[in-house]
Amino acid sequence: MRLPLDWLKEFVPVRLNPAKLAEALTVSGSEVEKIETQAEVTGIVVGEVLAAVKHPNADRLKVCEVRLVNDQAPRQIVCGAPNVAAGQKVCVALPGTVLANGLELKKANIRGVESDGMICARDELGLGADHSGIIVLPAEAEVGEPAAKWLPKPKIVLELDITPNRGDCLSIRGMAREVAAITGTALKIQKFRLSEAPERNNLKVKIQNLKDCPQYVARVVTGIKVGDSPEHIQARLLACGVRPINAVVDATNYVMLELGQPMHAFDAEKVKTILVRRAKANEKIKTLDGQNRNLQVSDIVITDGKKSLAIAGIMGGAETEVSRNTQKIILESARFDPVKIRLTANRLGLRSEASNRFEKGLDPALALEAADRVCELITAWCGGKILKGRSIAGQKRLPKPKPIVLELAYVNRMLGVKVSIKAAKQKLEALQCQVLISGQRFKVTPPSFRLDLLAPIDLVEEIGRLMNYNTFPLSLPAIPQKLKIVPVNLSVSSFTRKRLLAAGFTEVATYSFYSQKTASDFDLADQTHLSVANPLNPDQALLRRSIMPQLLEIAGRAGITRDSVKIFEIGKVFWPSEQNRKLPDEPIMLGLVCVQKQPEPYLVIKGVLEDLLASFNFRDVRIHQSTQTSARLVIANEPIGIIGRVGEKYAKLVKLKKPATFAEIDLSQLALAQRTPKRIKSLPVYPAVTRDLAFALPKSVPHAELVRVIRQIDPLILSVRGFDRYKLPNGLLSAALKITFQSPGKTLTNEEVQRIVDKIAEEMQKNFGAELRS
Amino acid sequence: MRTEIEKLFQETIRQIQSVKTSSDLQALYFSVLGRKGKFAQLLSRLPNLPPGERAGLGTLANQTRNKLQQAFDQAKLKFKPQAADSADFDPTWPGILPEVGHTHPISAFIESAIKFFSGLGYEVAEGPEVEYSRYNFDLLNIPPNHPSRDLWDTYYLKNSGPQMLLRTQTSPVQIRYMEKHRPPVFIIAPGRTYRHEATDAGHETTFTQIEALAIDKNLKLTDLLGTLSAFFQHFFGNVKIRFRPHYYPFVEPGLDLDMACLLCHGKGCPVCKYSGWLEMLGAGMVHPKVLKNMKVAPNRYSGFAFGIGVERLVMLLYGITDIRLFLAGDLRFLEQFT
Repeated sequence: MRLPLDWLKEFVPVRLNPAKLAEALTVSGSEVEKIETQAEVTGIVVGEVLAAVKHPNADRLKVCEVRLVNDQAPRQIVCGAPNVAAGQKVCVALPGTVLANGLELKKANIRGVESDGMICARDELGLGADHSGIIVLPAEAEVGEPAAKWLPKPKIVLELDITPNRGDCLSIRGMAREVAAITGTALKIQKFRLSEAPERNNLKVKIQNLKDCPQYVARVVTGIKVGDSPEHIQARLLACGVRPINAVVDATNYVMLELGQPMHAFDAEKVKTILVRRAKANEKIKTLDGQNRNLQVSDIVITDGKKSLAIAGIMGGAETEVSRNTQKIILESARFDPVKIRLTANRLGLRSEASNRFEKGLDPALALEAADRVCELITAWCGGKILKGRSIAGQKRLPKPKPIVLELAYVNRMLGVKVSIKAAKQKLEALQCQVLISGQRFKVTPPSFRLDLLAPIDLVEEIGRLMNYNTFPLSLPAIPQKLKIVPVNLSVSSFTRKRLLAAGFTEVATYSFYSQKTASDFDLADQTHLSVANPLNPDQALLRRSIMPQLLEIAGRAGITRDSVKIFEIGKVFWPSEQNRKLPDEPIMLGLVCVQKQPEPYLVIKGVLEDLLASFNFRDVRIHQSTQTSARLVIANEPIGIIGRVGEKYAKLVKLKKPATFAEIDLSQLALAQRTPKRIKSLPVYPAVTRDLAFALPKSVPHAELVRVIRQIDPLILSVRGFDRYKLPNGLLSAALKITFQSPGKTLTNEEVQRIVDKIAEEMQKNFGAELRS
Repeated sequence: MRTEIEKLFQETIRQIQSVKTSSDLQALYFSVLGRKGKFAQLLSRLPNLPPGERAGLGTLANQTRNKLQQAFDQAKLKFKPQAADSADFDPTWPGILPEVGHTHPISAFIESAIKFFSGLGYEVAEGPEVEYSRYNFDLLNIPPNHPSRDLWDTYYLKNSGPQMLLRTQTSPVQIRYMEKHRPPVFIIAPGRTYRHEATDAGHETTFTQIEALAIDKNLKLTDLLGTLSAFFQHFFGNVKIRFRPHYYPFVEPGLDLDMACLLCHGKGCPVCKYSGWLEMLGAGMVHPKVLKNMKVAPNRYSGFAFGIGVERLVMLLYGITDIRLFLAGDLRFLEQFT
């Protein structure tokens, strides 16, 4: 909401400077987002038109001689305004001046005539929308002096963020009330005049359903001549971001901005009665913007008893639009059901200053006052007369606000500061509440415009915010001690993160969405996804089922400039439940990617996972080969993840040029797996001996199988672990194993170890046809 | 034999003194005291000597060897400083960096925030990112078709049954937690949240909040203010903060916390929209209606809640001027964090 300070000052004296006022408003709950100072009109000087003759090559243009400095040669300026004439004092912009629209004025040749400047209209100086003619200054204006002296003063406008509960602040007077309350000043009471004609207003109004429209007030003004509203009014509308249209429409907008009541004026030539009803199914109306709108039974419409004249609270119909030819108007000032207005405005995409106010609820006392005010302005600007009497349907008397009982102890208990009876009363009264004290409690009747004050806690907040929270003492609650349980998901994720960082992997985070295309590119499309109903772009179409696609994309980008990429993400994925009435499963996944030539990325990631799983000490963990290039991670027969080389197809998609491996592990499930308590082994008394043995295998044998066979050979074999594997030139496969021997009872001699090695060689030959190479 | 030992000793001492380089000294050492050196050779003859001659020779040999060892050690020191100024050593040469990964700044911050709140006595709770509209709005005192819903631009999901959405805030965790727990309750709930809005340097569709909920007897607004001040002091030192009344339907009194913009030091910049202040979080006393929805009696208990916007905080901590960097997966950004 935009608040021009000059307008505010009509309702309340303001002694603070704009910055101080903004700060005071902000810390009391009306956040000032910006203090806007409209640019002063600069660089425009007063000139005198000495002569204005018709342009030789254009009927509508005049070539003017304009004097800018006494006793100096006049300048030649081409001007298109119909009202320019010799003898006028005018506003002249010289070449080099930046106009209100941001363009710099240049010397120009207009249809063969040099033009050395411009005589300005209002719009060109940012003073209004008027472009019908140039500004003519009073004769006293002196040639050569800055024109700003004769033009309206630039406005200072506060831009406020008004919260949805405070519809009452969406007006100049509403904000004036706030300013009065926070600065402890009195409002200037504005009594608006009303002069009615003796002729009676015979318009009949009816409301079909009082819930849709609790009150409808109409006045009739006849014999008007619709022109423009006064310049200072237009300037105010513009300062509030409202475009001036004509005097009648401007008057309704002006009063809406001033008092908060949105109103509508109908061209009333043909309208004899008003009926407020629900729209019929598929009823149509052409609105002011020229669009044909399809209505629904949930929409409220204003009708003449037969056809719709306007969509209530949202937009008028084209047929009854007030134009410059309008002589008689019906002025509507009403309240409508906030929810219906909101739904209709949202559905039609027609949210406006008016609908915004209706949907937040209006002061029930406002409709009458605003109707009078706007009719008075219309007759002041357009002539004509206000017919005697209002047509009213619905609420005749003000609903009686319910008093709220407030205990002082409650105020103190909630705020944590001691507020005296007197201070609390004073704050509430500053907000125009009626306060009755009995003992330590108050009976508080809020003013009619504060629809948000319903319960004691609402009053606690009012008292608190006027005291400025920044002056409150600070305290910390005494938190009762108890055993704290860390969610296992969290501790597992946290531990995993640390372990991966130590392994040289960098953590990334990616979006929870991906596109339909991504899903099909990565062969995920045949699995069910949750779809976003209102994605802002195709990349937000689906909730991710897997971390893989985005992680690979990052790896692809990073791989362009790096020899090695090692990244991981820990994040949720979304698996829709069988019946999609239920919330999806949201497992926390660990995704890992390694891209590099050497060492083999698959072995790097597998090593990282082996280390991670070993550190958790799971009871039964296995990694099974599942396809040619991938393996499945299984704990106690439950698959919890996969690890695999990134195939050519995906590599191409994300432009990976080097070998890559990806793994995705379900950490939520990992967190549930059974663990064995960690027990350390007693330190060996006698040293271990290791031998590296390389075998030439005729065909690939799973590592687990090699280990099984070798470990059976002798109890002195402590461990077997492969460390190198490659194809020999003769087609055989070389597998190098590190074998550790140890005895609990003695230091092993070379001979003893050699004996076992020989046995291993023999068994390898027997089982796999393998030759010992070294 | 005795004289031979003497002679070897004298000769070696002389040679040690005339040695010029460290490697010569090494060679000399091996030739004398090495496993097959002169000394060892000499001693290997010892068993063959008649017992009379042998007497005392062992002791002498040992003493002599110790003295020689000392002489060598001494001489070695002579060559030490030479190592420092030799060409193969430059103490300013860059060290070999350990190959460790980098934590994402958001998860790093969440971990430190959890530490901070655990220290105060808070527990950690979790909740789903896909929520029912009922938990994200209705039970938080945000009725359907209420203008206050405009405060949250929302991603809705296509599903049958009750309306699902991507939670716009971590506050639904409050309701979920209170379905299973009774006061006193002091929890935090970090997690992802979503807003249906166009992205720019200051706005993301996907961001992180840390929700806090405290419910106990006699909790008051000043407890909330004190807790928030402590949090900001912990992470930012003596930075200027400001409490500003604000409206959130699930709290009352409700407020926002602004922090003086650290990027421009309050002078005004595009990030703080030239106001000098940055909105960091929303907070307030739990609304009595919400307490009732949690089946907690508002006349016996009170509570406070807040939702910290993590990205904003991290941006200020590190001087990050574009929120989109957090999810861009640009390693040049991420590798700047430890």
